[in-house]
Amino acid sequence: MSTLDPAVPRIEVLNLAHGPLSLTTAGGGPPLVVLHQDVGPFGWTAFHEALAERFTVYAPDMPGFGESPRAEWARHPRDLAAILLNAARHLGLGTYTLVGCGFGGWVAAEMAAFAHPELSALILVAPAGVKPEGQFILDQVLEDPFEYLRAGFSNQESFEHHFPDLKDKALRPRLDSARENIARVSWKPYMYSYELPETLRGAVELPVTVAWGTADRVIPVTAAQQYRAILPQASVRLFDGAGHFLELERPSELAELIASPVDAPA
Amino acid sequence: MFIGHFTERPYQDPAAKFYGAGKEELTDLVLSNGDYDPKIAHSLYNRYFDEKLTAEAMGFDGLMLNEHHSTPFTMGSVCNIEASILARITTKAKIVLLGNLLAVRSDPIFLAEELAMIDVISQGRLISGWVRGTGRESLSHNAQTPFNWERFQEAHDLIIKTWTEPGPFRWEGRHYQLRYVNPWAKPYQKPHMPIWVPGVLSYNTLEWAARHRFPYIMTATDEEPTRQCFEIYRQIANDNGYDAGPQNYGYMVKLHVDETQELAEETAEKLLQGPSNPFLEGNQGTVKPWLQALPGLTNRNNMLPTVASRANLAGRGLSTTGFTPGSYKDQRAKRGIIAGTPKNVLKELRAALENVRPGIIMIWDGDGAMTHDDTMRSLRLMGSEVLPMIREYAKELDLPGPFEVDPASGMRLGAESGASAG
Repeated sequence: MSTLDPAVPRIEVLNLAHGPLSLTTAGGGPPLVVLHQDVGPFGWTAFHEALAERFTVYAPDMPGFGESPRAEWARHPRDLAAILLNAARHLGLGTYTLVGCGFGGWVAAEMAAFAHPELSALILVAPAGVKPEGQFILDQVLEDPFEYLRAGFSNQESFEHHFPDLKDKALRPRLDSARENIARVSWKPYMYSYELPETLRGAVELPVTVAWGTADRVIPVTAAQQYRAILPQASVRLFDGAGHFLELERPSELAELIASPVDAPA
Repeated sequence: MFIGHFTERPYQDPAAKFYGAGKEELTDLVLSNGDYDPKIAHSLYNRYFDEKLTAEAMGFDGLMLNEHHSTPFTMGSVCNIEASILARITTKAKIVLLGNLLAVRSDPIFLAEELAMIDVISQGRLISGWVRGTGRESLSHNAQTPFNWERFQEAHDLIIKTWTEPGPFRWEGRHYQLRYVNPWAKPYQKPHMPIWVPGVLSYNTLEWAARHRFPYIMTATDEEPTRQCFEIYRQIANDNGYDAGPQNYGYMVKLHVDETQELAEETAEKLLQGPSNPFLEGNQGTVKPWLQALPGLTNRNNMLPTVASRANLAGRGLSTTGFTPGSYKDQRAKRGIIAGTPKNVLKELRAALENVRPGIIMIWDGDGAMTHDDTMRSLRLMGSEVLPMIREYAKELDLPGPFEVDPASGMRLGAESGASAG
């Protein structure tokens, strides 16, 4: 792949056998694929910019989110994982680093379960996918879409900083569309899988980092240790006071962690 | 003309905070069933059965039941239980379900069996009606909303096959898979009971009903958009090779008759009191819009002309009548509520019939905060003075019901040909 100017992310449409997939690419260096949250891609953020200083960053809009059309047949995050694995193969990435945020973390974990030899590292940022013990994942079906978005941040100030204009006419349809897409692929069980812990367990040689904000109001931070129980080689890094959208609230620190992962604990 | 009687069977507890006007405004879908008193419910269920028996004795053709979940405004969440009891305690009236929630059932065969049993027990008096349900229904039974419409259609195909073809058979559909379909209960009516479809806003549902030649019942909608919806139905029927007429159209109207005009108005206003009901215009309380419009449940770009008057209600401005939208005065002015002495009620109802031209009319009474006595006074006057005149008007205005003219073909039916109505 050619080295791109990090300042100029390039948007292209991959024509996969499943249908078109919108992809934003920038940066230089080894390949890294980053998957977005359930409320849809936030665009090219400071987090992407920081990653692009060290990696060639591939940020697809997952099927049904952003500019990528919905895969009408898809019924589970595993189905999206199959498409994204094919996208990576289509791009000829070879071995790559995979980062998934929130719902995107679940999709990334599904990809790892079936194709861990293709990954050089897996970074799960407050991922969905496992059932938190004794607690619930915040159910967006029961929440006003704007309140659900707000819950992704550690505090009101942070929310207003990233979403200064809730009257933006494009925002609500985007949230509604993402909400419907989630309802198609993760209705029940909501945001977790009983099978994933077992299918993922085989990825014993994959370097894994689990990152979580201690002020996460969407997925309880205690689930980090449950991922660790599935993948004993995983290192867990907690970000004190950060919310669910770690990539928005702590972009530099998170990018640094991804570029220089902490050693796996003994 | 087919004349039916309807009430939501509200859970009336005047001591409860959700009890409508004068109480605190209720937000829909937040009330806890910790406030449910089975003694009150026992008394009310039996009261509503008594009223249905009276409605039958007064000459109503149909006793209509509906189904809503997790709410005090309708106690008939499992209305097939009520229908089963009516099948045994009534003898003549049709039992009209408007309707069962196809898409919410995880196993449509259970529904096929229940309805067949009710039809058999009642000796062929069941009219089956099918709905998609509102947000509360999908929420209450965790039915995946983006596939509600697909599931509705597949469940329909599966149930019709279950009713009409000898089993056992195997079903491998997109949403339902069954290894062995062979229930030991089949409809009394052949090929199966009539199917009617109620609706308010969704174009898809009306279009589907028209294509299947099922009568379409508009539930408490304004006259003019209702008329426009029937015109859309008629055009779809034309495109599908048959002529639709009054036998295909049902109209529900809130109507209360009483001994004096004053008593009638005073009592009819109770329709807007009682348990807060987001579907009873004027008594909505507040709703959580994201729970009403669950993800992918309704195609918001494909609505019927009725959507404009609903939008007015939400806007809380002034109605074309000059009154607050949904208020008692507003509904009286546009004949959404008809109330008065038999003579006055008949005058208004005749105007509505001339305008909307339905062959099915569902009279919605005895709801909200109305008492048993209120309902019984109205029922008796309907039986003695109102229903006979409605039938005269129907003859004069040529408004045949679906048991007089076949809604599927437009052919006039014999007296005993009810089974073809839908």
